[in-house]
Amino acid sequence: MIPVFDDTATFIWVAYSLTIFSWVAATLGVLQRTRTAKRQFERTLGKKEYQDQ
Amino acid sequence: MKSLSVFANPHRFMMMSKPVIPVIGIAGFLCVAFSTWQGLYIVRPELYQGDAARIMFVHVPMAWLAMAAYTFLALASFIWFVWRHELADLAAKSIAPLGALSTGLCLATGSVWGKPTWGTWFQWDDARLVSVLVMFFLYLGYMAVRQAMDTHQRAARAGAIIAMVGVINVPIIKFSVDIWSSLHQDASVLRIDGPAMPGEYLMPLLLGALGYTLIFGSLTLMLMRSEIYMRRAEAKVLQGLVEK
Repeated sequence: MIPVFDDTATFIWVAYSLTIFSWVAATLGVLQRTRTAKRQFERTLGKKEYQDQ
Repeated sequence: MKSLSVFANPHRFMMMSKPVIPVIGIAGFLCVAFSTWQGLYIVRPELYQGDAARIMFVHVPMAWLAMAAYTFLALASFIWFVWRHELADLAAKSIAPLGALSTGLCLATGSVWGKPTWGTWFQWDDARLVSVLVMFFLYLGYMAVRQAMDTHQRAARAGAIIAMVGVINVPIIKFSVDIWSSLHQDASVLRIDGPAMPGEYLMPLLLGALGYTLIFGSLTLMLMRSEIYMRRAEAKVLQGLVEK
């Protein structure tokens, strides 16, 4: 197990946090975009059309 | 080519992708969680680099993913360019931001690993580091050019040209450490002689790479579906305007 506080550990935590939080942010962004697209589709073509997809 | 055309049907794509997205997303999350736990807590410190080598479990998957994503971006662009399959263009458009994210993270985690091991964040005369930076700019350029065009067709054509020309950078990245002297270490997994790494390190590394790739695939499919919804809504609005 790595130590929590020393110089190397800081680099390790930065690298892991950066990667994981970036992917979490990307996932949330994509989910938001999907929601917007679905809403736009429903507004234009109707809910039934959307459910048929 | 016939089998490719089966997947090129947007309606069939919508039906097939819907159940696949959560399955590969969850599988990817589990692989990444396991790899992260192994990388942070289980594997022993490396002989020469000590604990700093644990950064490998996020840096290397990002690097592989960045290169694989660019290769798929170029392939999808080629398919659109030759056969004009709209789904291929949607795939290319959806891959680009996620590929840029992987490349950015590869550079950032590489810098964070470089500082304690090489004593520098970045080396401007190092072929591996600079060629990855070039790939990052290629992704940004691809997205910027698409955004600047006024129609989907023009955006697809301009983007496809950048993607296809830029793919020459992928083998340059791969072989840069063999051709030029570099601070970066030589390939230690994808080698003709097999991996030069103990199983204790190799297993979480490969699982991490698989996990991030599955998450990448899941997000790409979601973006493609969103784009199809947007374009159908846009087509309907245009149709309404024409009928008026």
